[in-house]
Amino acid sequence: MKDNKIPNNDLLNDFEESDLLKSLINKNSFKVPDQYFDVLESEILKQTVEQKPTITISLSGKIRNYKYLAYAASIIFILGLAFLFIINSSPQKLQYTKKDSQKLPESIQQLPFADSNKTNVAASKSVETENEKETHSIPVVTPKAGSVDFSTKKMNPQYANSTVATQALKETTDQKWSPVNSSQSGQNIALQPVFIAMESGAQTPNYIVNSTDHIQTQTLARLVKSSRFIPSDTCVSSGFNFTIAKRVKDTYRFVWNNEIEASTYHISEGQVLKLEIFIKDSLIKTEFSNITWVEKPQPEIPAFISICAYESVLIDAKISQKEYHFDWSVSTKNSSELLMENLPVGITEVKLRVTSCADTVWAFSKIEVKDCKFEIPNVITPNGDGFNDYFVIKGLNNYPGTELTVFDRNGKLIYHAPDYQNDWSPANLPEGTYFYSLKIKDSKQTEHGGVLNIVR
Amino acid sequence: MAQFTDQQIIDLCRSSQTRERGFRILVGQYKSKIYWHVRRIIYDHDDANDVTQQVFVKIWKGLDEFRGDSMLFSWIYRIATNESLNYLKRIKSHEMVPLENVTSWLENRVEHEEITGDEIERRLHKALAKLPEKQRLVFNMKFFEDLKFREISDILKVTEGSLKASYHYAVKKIEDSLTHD
Repeated sequence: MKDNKIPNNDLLNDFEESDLLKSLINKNSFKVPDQYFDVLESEILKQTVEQKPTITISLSGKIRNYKYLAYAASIIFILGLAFLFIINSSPQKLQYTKKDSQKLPESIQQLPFADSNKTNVAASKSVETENEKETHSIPVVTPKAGSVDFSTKKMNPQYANSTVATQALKETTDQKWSPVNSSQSGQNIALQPVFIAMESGAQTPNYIVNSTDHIQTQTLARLVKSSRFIPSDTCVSSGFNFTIAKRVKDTYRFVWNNEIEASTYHISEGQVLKLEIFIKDSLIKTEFSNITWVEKPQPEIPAFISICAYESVLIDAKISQKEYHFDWSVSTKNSSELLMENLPVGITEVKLRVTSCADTVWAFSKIEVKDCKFEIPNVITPNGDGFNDYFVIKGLNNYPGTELTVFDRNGKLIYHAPDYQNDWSPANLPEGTYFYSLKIKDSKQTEHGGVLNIVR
Repeated sequence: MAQFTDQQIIDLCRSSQTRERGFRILVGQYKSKIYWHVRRIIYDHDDANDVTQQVFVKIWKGLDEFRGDSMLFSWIYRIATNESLNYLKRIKSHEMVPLENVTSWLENRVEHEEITGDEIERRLHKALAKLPEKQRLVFNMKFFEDLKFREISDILKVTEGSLKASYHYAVKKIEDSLTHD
């Protein structure tokens, strides 16, 4: 221990604090959270003694020089964590963007439309664990009441239990598209509190950043210094409000574009937004945001399409700007058109999400696929008794424009209708065997022939 | 828990078999002192929490290099003081606070803290935030942490005479602002 070389100088020790000041000695005016010091201790031990054994064991403990390796490893580990943290905390990830949706993990992106439920279950499990890890983060993006929510919206109740396929589709799309899950899809929602609330125009879904809880657990100064108030890039389609959360705006002053001092700023034009943050008169921070204006996508796809099983259908959203990203519930293709072939009989729901960097717009279509099989009788009895008087082909109404031709055994033309309507009743033909030919007006000009017996 | 002397802790830390136990004792005995020391310099709880953890990690890593030619006590406090001042410097530059606003910036940090106590305590802390750094440090250690001038001198490597003068000035200024503001 070091000797104290300076003799105690009582002269300087002489002076007395005033009684007022004395009354404050050892008073502790700052708050700490309950049980904080236990938490602190365990945190410290985690980073020190409890971290070491795993490393030293692997180095067999005796090779002293290797401890630097261990340090290096732990530093790399910490840097890695920090890097992850930085990525996670970027506040620009608040909305779906074109980039974001492209980043959907392959496992989800490639889920075929009617995939087995197994995959979905696995996916949702991993989502849950992610959630546990991020309990301290806040689910920042929540669509407002007016926006589309797949999980609750029923498109056409009458088809609710029509096919298994639609059920599977629903699960797939919920997995793929529900806003909360986007944080698990590679682009993480900010871990750090971001306390701007952004509201877009009335037409687009609203994004509100809810950070009230977090503000209580974090001190304000820390929030201000560690967060961005406006994202470095903002993409909008129409007028847009930046709103500063209440507790922050009570303490700080916000000046937008050098002219307006307010806690809410409506942007309607311009390429760059400047925000200056003051405490009293001192400037604390200056932030810029580059504004990109992109027209809101307005996809138009037919709400209901009815086809036969052998037919294909082209769904065209009729927009094709490069800035848009198209997500089809039944395809991984990023295109405004979608050709659907070989559909199963039943109802197929098609959901389209068009994303620009500012907006997400949904469109829905329901495709009814009928198997459209013909049932052609081989006997008719045109005797006027009301049964089998007419040559009625079941399923013919699915094939408008079908041409019917009837011949007798000698090949003589008996009847011809370019667009047959199930209305032929050969009342005055002799009994016997006849031949018919149906020519269906589809892309392949399918022909079907057969034998028809007329009996009285 | 029985209190260990610094010397006992050092002895435990010297041997690799008992080092971990020694460090656990060290953390147990110093965590709240160091936390409060750091907190009074940088005010914000979350920052103080970060810095305190860094301090103990440094101590753990530095145990080998600690030769015992100064006291464990002052060594720990010195690390804590330096880490805190560096931290302040770093976030000041990060936030680009103009030099003339540094004190008002600190005052502002104090204002963000929920100070329990009454108005007079609030004013004490505001007055404290206006002091030059060195006077503030000395005042904190002497007034709140009840350290001896000899101990402070060991920590800050400043002569006792100069410390006493600093403390004297600090007390004068604070009393002035408590009675006049």
